[in-house]
Amino acid sequence: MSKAQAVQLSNPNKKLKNEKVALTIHRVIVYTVLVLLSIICLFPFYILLVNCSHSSPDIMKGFHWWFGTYFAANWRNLFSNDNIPLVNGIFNSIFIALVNATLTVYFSALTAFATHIYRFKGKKFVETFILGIMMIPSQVAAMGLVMFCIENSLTDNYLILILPSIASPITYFYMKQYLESILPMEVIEAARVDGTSELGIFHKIVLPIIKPALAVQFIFAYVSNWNNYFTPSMLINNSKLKTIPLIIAQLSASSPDTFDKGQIYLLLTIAVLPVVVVYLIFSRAIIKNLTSGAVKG
Amino acid sequence: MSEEKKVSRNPFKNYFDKKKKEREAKALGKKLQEEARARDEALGKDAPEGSYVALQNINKIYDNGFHAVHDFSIDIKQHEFIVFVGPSGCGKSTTLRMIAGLEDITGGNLFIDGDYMNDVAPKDRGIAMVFQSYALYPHMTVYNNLAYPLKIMHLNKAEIDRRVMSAAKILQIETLLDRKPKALSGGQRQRVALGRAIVKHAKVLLMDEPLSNLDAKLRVQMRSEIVSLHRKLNATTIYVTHDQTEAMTMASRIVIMKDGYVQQIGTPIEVFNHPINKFVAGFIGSPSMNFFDVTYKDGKVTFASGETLTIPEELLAGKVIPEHVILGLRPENIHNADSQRGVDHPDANFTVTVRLAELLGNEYYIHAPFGGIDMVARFPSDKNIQTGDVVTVNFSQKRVHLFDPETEVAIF
Repeated sequence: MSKAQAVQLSNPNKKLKNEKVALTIHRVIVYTVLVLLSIICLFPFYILLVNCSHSSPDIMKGFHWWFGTYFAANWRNLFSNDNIPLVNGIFNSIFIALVNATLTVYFSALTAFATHIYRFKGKKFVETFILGIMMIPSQVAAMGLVMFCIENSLTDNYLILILPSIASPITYFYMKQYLESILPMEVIEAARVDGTSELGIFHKIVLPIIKPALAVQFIFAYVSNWNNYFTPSMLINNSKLKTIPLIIAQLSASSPDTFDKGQIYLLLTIAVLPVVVVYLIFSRAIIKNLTSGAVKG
Repeated sequence: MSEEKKVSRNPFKNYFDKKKKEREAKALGKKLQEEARARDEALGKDAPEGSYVALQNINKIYDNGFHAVHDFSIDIKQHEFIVFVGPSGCGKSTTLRMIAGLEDITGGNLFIDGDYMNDVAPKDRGIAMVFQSYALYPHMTVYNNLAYPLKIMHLNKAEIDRRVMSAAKILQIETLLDRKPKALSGGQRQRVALGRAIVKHAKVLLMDEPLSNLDAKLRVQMRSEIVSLHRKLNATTIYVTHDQTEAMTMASRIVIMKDGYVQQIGTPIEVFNHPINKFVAGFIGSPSMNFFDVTYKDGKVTFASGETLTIPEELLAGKVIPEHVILGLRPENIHNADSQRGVDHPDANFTVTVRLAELLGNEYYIHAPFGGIDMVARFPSDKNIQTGDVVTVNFSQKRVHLFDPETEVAIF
């Protein structure tokens, strides 16, 4: 017998009614707060969409609540603008983000696997070192990176955008925690007894088991690479190699007479869309795994 | 208390003391490891004849100096079912893991089927293992779990299918082959884990407490199934458990361990009837044996409460018995003199007051103070017994054991 039923039997009608009212009030408050929060979160996106359908002078004039008719023109202008290698930029961003995210996730998982499974000399030092890196902002190391790239003529190169970000302490840390919470040593030992090689254990047993964690970290890595402005801005000058954030910066920094707010808003929309799509597709996996990593499921 | 206070006041000293202790432990571990290896040299590396799995003076010493297994030696014949049993932390699992190759052997030799195996990788030892937590691959179906070791062995598809199906048939999991482990109950998972071990047709089957995650009823059922499986497959099996009932019912020979030392190796009936020391006597049998501190004189022992018991002469023949000894008697050898037949030692009757009578259905466990301890006796439940009743108990004199109080070794 549930609690509600018990209440009903001992004290019919009146108490039940009170409870119902209390519940309704509670719900109204909660949903009001949630709706307000949603509006705060979604409003900038709405403005973004609205503004990309207005002309630049229109936008300068003031705030718009509803869509305009200038969308097609903005689109034409943006894509026909020779100073802006937009198609190239989209391709660059997608390519770099995809390769980067894949490699980051793979190598982080491999490192986490190694430190989780094996006992080796200097293991504690390695772990502390990796976590130490996490505390150093990338800006601090940027000077060194730039000098290194210039000396070795590595600027204007895909590799320099991809290779350094493979070593991602945060992804490693997440993977390590996930492995600790979900991977029993006995499964590894069973695989060993069954005759799997050590790399085989990683590829055939561990990777499939931590697939959810891989998915989550892939998305995070993809998004942060997609949004990365800092590193490319220092190391990429060739307009053919520019990524979307660089192009946005270039457009908004152009001279006042070519400065077109409609185009910028459209470009921003294009830049945001892939991220939104990825989130919409994977949001369930993300939410599920942010909890399932903590509590063994 | 005062020492604790001192420790907590000075964190630096505390830290360095801890580090120093760790260093000392490590040095000790290294020293012991070297000693064990030196002894190895003398041992040679010849496989003993007539044994299928041979452990010679196996030692496990961890880096922190902890000596987990001391000089473990046993010759296991083909088709035997050996059970390692002992309380937790006695080194039984460690020994099994050393046989499997999951732990390094610090000292001593391991032979399987005549080959020296100390430095061979687990996969090349010809073993299969069942783990306590089943250790199934969670992302694979039952079929693939069973087929996985065979795929690694590069068998052809038809052979894999044949072996998986036959294992599934033996274990009655044919209907579960498409499921993933998380959709299985504990008992079913355990069957799959067993199946994964038997498809390999390994030389030696190792089982590390495979039943301890199951509920009591299922455990009894799986126990008999594993025994019949062993009869069918005839694989040499080494089974680890902390449950003496499992050991008694399953083993062809039992190895009883305590604190890393082998106490006794023998058939279930041997270790039950002729325990080598007080530990084995107390560990095997349920409820465990009663131990009385008694004084011995002229073929009679006197209990702390003043009663005397005559020890049969055939037991005493040729034995030197110290004045103070420990007398052991199993609860089933203490009878209810009022109701049971076959009681023919009237001079071994004693009157006790029941402190607690536990009714198990077919029998009572009677707890009663006698001879300075809380004695336990097993009585049939045909006669109603209650707390506070005064009953006459009868000791089977022929079944008594005497132990040396210093060494705890059995005199008989």
